[in-house]
Amino acid sequence: MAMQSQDIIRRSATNGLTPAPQARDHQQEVAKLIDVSICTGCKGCQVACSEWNDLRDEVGHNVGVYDNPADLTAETWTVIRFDEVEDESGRLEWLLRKEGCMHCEEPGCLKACPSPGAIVQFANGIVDFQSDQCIGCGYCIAGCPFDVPRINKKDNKAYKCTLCADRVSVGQEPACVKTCPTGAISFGSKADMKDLAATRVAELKSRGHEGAGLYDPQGVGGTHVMYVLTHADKPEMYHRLPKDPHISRLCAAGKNG
Amino acid sequence: MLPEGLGRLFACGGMSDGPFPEQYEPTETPLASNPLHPKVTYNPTARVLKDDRARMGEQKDFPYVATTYSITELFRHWTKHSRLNAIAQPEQFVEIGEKLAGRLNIAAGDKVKVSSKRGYIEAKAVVTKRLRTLNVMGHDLDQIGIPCHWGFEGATRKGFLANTLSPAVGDANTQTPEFKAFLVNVEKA
Amino acid sequence: MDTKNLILRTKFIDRMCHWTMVACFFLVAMSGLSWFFPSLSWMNGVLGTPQLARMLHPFLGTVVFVLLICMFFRFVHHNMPVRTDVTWFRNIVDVLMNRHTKPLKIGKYNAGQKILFWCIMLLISALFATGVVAWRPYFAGYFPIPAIRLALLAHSLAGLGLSCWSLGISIWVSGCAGPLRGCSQAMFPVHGLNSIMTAGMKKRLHPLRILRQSIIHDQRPHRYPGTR
Repeated sequence: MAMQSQDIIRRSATNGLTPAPQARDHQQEVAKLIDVSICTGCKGCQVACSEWNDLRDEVGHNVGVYDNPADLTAETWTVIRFDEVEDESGRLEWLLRKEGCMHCEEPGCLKACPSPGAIVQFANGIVDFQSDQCIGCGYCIAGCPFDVPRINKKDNKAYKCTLCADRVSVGQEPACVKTCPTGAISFGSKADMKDLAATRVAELKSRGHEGAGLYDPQGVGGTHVMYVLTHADKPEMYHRLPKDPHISRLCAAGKNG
Repeated sequence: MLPEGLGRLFACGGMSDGPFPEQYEPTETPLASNPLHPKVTYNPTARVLKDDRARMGEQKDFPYVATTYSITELFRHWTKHSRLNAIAQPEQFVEIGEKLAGRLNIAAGDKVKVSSKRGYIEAKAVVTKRLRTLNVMGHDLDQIGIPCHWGFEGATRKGFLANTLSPAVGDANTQTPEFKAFLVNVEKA
Repeated sequence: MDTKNLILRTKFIDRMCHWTMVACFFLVAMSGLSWFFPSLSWMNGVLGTPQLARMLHPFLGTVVFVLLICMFFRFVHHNMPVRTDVTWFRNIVDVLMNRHTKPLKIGKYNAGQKILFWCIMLLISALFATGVVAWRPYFAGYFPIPAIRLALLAHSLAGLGLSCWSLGISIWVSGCAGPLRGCSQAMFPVHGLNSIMTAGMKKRLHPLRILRQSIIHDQRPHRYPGTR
């Protein structure tokens, strides 16, 4: 954390009149690439996430779907979404998507947060919550275009995926990437991940997935968690992944500075 | 598989139902008879005890085919004792096709009772498009899926033993239990 | 102080209600503004730590709302619009210039004060309603995110509006307002602290009440308000 504070390039509820630390400014932007066409929905990433981050959510209920926990919570930072989608010809696809924080280049949560320094963005692009500064107002929830942060009822603080900022800062990949048994999740510099995605998209297209593409939405300046989708033209099919996410104008207006 | 790394179509020794592979219906089958050879419906060499035979159901009482299986989140009845696995799949469920669920007025998340001649379980209903009504010999046939990991103890929520439902009959050669196809009824609990 | 000619204008219970509300409102408004203008985040220090301020803000806001509801029921009958309010509006220039030449036929509150009353009621009700929608961790979970976004925006604007308004009104009433100059002891603030006024003021500012109720000093003429 001591060194990480030097990597903070953006801080919530802080005006831009004073500069962020810049001495260590040679850092690369990182990205996680999730290839939904390779995911088998084993939920290994969910378990690895909970293991590394010492999270133990409640043992919940089955609510009639495979998704479990049924939703992201303060103690579950990633869940696999299972969607059964039939196209016009009646062909059935079981679409899987690992849901979690997208680590936007322009984070709506950070923009909405009224507590100075409770949400920060590191030079490598990771958006992280600083729980000691969090006041539990839930503005980040309203600000997020992806409906990701969750307030913990136990301590009234917001939580979400950290992209394993602690692991990444010492040169390791996030826990979900390390554990994924099918190699559906990759991690590296954002440029490398875009290259990898291009290769995968080309392959999927050659296999007849006309709509295959990279999900790196520009409405939020691009994201540091990207998807390779077999239906990039219709991202809503993947559990309402927004086609053109952007920070709500209402949120931007609801707080000044 | 044999030492030379290949299987054999003609197995002259060792197979109690050889030498050629043969199509048999499950012991508890929704069909009146074997479509390929009506006189012998199920494997005559499989061992079935008399009392177990008496506990076989018929399609008129148990109209649906059930299959039991494992899911990736849990391993046998072991990992239901592990908190993290329990979080990933906390409560017993059965999978029911959309069409059948519609007919039985079962919605996703409803509690359902699945019964066979041998007993019953109760579980949550996962209503899915993946299980479709089959057309077998001109008749509609529905299949339901029964993951088999929950029980009376563990970190998960308590559940029923799926093997309460399954028949006590094994493969003629290996005695591998015939838990992949048997007859059940499904109703809203 | 000679209390012979003084009139009890607002009862002790009402004044207590009002001032408790004002005190809470200041705390709520300061913490609220600290989140609207993060450069003013030091202002939530009035409630302790930022976390504590966030936790207390909605509860204090609820106190404000509840007290206001009490005041609503106690004062609403003075604030119903009547035909003679039109006279006040017609003579608004004279009122602002402190020229009390024409009879304005005002009851307990003039038309301007009535507007103030209804606006405050409206804004605080809006603040309470939108505040509940955004109140974590108790209620926000029951509302969809777009509703919360709308509520937060409305809450911010209403809060900002009310803060400016109440600050502005207080300043105006306590010193700058023409018709009130020289009698701030009796009137400051508009319906609160000093609940007494001279009979002369009353005649000048509230002639209708004098006609309707005769002089109130028949009832409690010689007591300083709030004392027993």
